[in-house]
Amino acid sequence: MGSVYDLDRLIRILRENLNLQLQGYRYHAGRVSWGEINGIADLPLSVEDYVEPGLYRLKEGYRFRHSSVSPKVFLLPSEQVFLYESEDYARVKAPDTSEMRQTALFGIKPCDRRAIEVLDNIIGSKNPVYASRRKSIAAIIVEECLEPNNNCFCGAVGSGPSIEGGFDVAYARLDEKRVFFKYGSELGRDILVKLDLKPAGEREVNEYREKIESTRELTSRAFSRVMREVQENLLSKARDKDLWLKVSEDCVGCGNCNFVCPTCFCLEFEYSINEQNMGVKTAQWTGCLLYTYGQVAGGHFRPELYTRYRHFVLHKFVFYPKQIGLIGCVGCGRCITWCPMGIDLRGSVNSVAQGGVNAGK
Amino acid sequence: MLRVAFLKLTSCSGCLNQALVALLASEDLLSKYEVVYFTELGTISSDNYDLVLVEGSVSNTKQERELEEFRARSKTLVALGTCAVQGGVQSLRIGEDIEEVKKTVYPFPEKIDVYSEPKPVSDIVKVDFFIQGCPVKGEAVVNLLRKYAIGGLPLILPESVCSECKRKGLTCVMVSQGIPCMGPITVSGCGALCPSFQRGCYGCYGLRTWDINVFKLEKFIDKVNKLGAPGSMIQTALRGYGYKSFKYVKGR
Repeated sequence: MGSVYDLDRLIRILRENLNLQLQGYRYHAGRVSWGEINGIADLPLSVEDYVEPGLYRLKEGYRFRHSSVSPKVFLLPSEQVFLYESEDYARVKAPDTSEMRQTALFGIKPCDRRAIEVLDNIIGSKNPVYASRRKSIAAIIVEECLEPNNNCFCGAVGSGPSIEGGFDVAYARLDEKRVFFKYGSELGRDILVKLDLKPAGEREVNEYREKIESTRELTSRAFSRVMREVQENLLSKARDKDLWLKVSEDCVGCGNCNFVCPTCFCLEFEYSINEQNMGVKTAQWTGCLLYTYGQVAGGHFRPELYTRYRHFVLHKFVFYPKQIGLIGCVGCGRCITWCPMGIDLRGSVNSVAQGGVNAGK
Repeated sequence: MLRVAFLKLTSCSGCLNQALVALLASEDLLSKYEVVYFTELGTISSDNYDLVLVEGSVSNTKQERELEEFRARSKTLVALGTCAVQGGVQSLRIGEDIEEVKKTVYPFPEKIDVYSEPKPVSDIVKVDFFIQGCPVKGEAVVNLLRKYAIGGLPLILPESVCSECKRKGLTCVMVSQGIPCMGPITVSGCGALCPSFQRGCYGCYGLRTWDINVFKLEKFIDKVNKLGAPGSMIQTALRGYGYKSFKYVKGR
């Protein structure tokens, strides 16, 4: 057991004793973005996100869950230069990806950790930029949420609210002051030993468990069927055009859901020529909801918007499991929050899984 | 040397300025291109052109002839900016009495020879390539000129402004502050300029008309209306920057 001030000591141990740079949710000038954490003042400790579908407000409080960024911002940057090449291809060079400073991810959520697992399985070493950044991660510090926001559904996809593995230290805020710590690795145990905290009493352990369970309960209600049935129904209704048209009727194809999704990994290449007459090949984020995504030489394989929305949903819930054995959706609710039209993925999945009962909402 | 002409029709010169400044600022391009025509400077030498960059919309039959002439004398013709591509802010007058509009603006309206609906360049001649923007970004023009110099044309990926916001790590002004923003239905390319300054996009690069049907457009307009978007903002976006789709929108 500790307090929020022990988080500051934890940051110092990681930075000074282990010589790591810290990356995580950084509070600055009224917003929570992704960035380097240098001390407790950078953490979003006294703000709380209030969300609804298509709405986000940062308020005073102590239960920060999400903003529009995720660890993807660090692991798979939105713009990555892949190649420089001369006109005759005689000079080709790839950017240097070997020198990455050893890093600790700080304060990411259990759903974020699951998202990294998904990305590891999908991308792994195939992308040199991702691989070098992933390799630089020497420690993972997770914050468990003891109260979900309105759009959270980690319980329904099994990515939270508690974390059982794949981390070094996890902490949860019982209230504004008290912080409950646990470790998930040898390194994590060493770190907690250095922190020299007082052991949690039975009352505090119970309090922690109760809050985890109530969060699990609240975040497990998203779907009206069990996941296996949801997946089977999604697949069997894949060709029901009218249903998908109805479900996607509010979608305008802006791609916000793709960009904020912690597991959306698609990149497109842009070619340009620089002033030295070198061709520059840059990869940048794209998403299956965007029109250009399905455009290929000679045609377009998803010109209609409903087919792109359908692909987004089916990929997360049906295709990822076939590819990597994990559901691609981690239940963070970012796509719901940051959809300017307020389309609720949970509602879409339910209406398809139920055969179009309250479609779209 | 490639011979490039800068042709201006009905427009503000903003795109041509962007293009010219971008060209003059890129030393590598100056050794490859020769400016042989610039509307505001007059003819420098009138021959055939490799590349014609056209700014502005077409307002009368005289401009139609001029445009046809340049098309006939050029290998490649590029429409530059929202006016040339979609009609531009001049389209705001569509649906109004053209004689009244002339009187409102000009002291001698009888001297103004324009038809009531401005036309995009592609209504008159074949366009080989277009760059959207109001004005276009100089970088986009430089990219075009560099590609053209090695015998190709760039690949432009027109997406939503949201794409650029998210890649830049900006927090959505619409979702997080309730500021009405046309970004989701507007073509990318500006680098999310207005949202970078905590303002909503007003759609100057043009609406994504190929992906959004009238039904979706109305849904989106309902959304920004609920956030209190001023009528003028929606009108400007739909009529000024959405030439091809505006007429079909309910209660424009």
